[in-house]
Amino acid sequence: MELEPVIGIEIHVELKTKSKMFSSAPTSFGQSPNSMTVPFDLAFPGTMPVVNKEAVRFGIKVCKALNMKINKTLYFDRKNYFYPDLPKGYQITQQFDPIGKDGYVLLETENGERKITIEQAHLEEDTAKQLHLNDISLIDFNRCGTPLIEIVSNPDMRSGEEAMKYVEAIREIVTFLEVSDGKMENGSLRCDINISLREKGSNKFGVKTECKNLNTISNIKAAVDYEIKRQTEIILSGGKVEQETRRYDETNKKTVLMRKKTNAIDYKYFREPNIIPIDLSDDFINDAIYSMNKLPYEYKKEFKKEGLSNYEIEVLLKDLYTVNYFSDCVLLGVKNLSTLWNLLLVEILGYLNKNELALKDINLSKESLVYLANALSDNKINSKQGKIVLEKMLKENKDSKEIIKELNLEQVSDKSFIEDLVNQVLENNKQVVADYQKGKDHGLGYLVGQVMKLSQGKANPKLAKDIIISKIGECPKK
Amino acid sequence: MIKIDLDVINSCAKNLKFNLSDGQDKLILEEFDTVLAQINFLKSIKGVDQQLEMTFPYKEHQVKLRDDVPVKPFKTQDILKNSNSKIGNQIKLPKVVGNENE
Repeated sequence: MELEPVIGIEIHVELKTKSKMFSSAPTSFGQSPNSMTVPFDLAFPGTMPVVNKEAVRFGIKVCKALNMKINKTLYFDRKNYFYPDLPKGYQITQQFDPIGKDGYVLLETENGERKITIEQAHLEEDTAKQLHLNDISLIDFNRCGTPLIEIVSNPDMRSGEEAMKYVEAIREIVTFLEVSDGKMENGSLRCDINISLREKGSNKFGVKTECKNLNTISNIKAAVDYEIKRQTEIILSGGKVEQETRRYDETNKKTVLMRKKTNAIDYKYFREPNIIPIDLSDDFINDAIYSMNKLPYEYKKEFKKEGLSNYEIEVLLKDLYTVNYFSDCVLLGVKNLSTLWNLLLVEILGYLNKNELALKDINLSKESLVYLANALSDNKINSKQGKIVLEKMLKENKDSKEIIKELNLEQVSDKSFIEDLVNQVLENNKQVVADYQKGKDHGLGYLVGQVMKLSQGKANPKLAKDIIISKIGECPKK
Repeated sequence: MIKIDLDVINSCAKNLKFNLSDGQDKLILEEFDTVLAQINFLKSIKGVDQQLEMTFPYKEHQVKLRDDVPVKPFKTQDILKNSNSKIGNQIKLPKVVGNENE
């Protein structure tokens, strides 16, 4: 029997507004416990919810980026449950009329492009954070009421790789839109993954398990792959998968049982009577859409056209600030994008990581970096000299043009000057030339090195090499 | 529909971590009798199941949303005054999620 995995994902994204979804309490991560609340968050009698405009704007941006139909009237509903993380006894959410419906994202996978459809996205409030100890729980209400957008996919994914890429795509979108910091490790992007198996070709769904506690992108792939393997073994040995909630145990690299799901909880949803439906004007919606940042797939398309490799693009898109910095450098007229990529993503980020700094922490002039990148790609300086210039730029905050001038580094590409040097070198190294012409190809590097030595490192090595070959010919193949 | 009796009330109380003293379960059961009588009366109205709830009596919607401007939050010490059980700045509760399945 051939089995097919069926995977659907619910992602909760914390929106980085200044105040909460339905109250004016500030939303700050990492503050002292219970220091970021107002009476509404604590369900004091008589307090009423008032919808945050920025959270709605952010919601519209997310829906547009996910190609969704945007609901022009906002309705909210109550999800009733009795638990200490929401003192009201219910969560305000959008059960019946979500802000966005019927969207999709496109993923590039090992098997080509995959379209993952999205059922809906709805706005809601986050719960308080609980810390469970041996026999007590501690509650911090700071997170209670933080705006969330929950993005619910259809069960379209078929592997751990697709699940991972889907979450990564959503994370990229919300961070590029600057509506969330998307930090899984801080809980600002959390996902629940539903996984089941069915016989290939069948339309019926199998019994699903829900996997929680996934705090890194790579854990998603590991957890889904493990769960597929576990369920496959159960089914193929004649057993039945039980409906349960599991969590990923990072230490032992497996999913473990949290609780069995016996009955579906009835949350007794009903319309939130304290929020009168809100009509969103066309101007308001359009303003949110027009103010959207460029999306990751738009950058990908652009960089691909400019000749960057898939790997270079993937690395570049990991951080919005770096992408914007890179794009600005491209606009300033950089001649070779791969040279710029190497300087920024390898040399500069390597230096920053070593010194526990971020690109935005240092005052690195884009014009200066572009000048250096172009000097390298035009062979005005060689890569060794480029590293010296860059080091001075980073450590002494100097302009690349000035450093190159100051150190007298600019390469000489004057053909007649280099030709004179080549003639001298060939005259003084007749045996090397003879050996080279008999097949000892390493002689060429030696001769170029001698030209560089004579020129005190300033001759353009590529030009020197070309002139030498034109004079002594190509090395015969052994 | 589940028949509400003393066993159901005591079972719910246990699930919700409430300790009911003697006689409190009977008192709640009496209150349920009143509530259920009212519900049964409503159910007896012909066609009531087909009616949608009228959450908002008027057709007018609002257009105004709150600007994203935070206010000064409550002082932690004032919040904690509402709890008779705390550790540091956090509110202490009996643990209601178990490790029994782990």
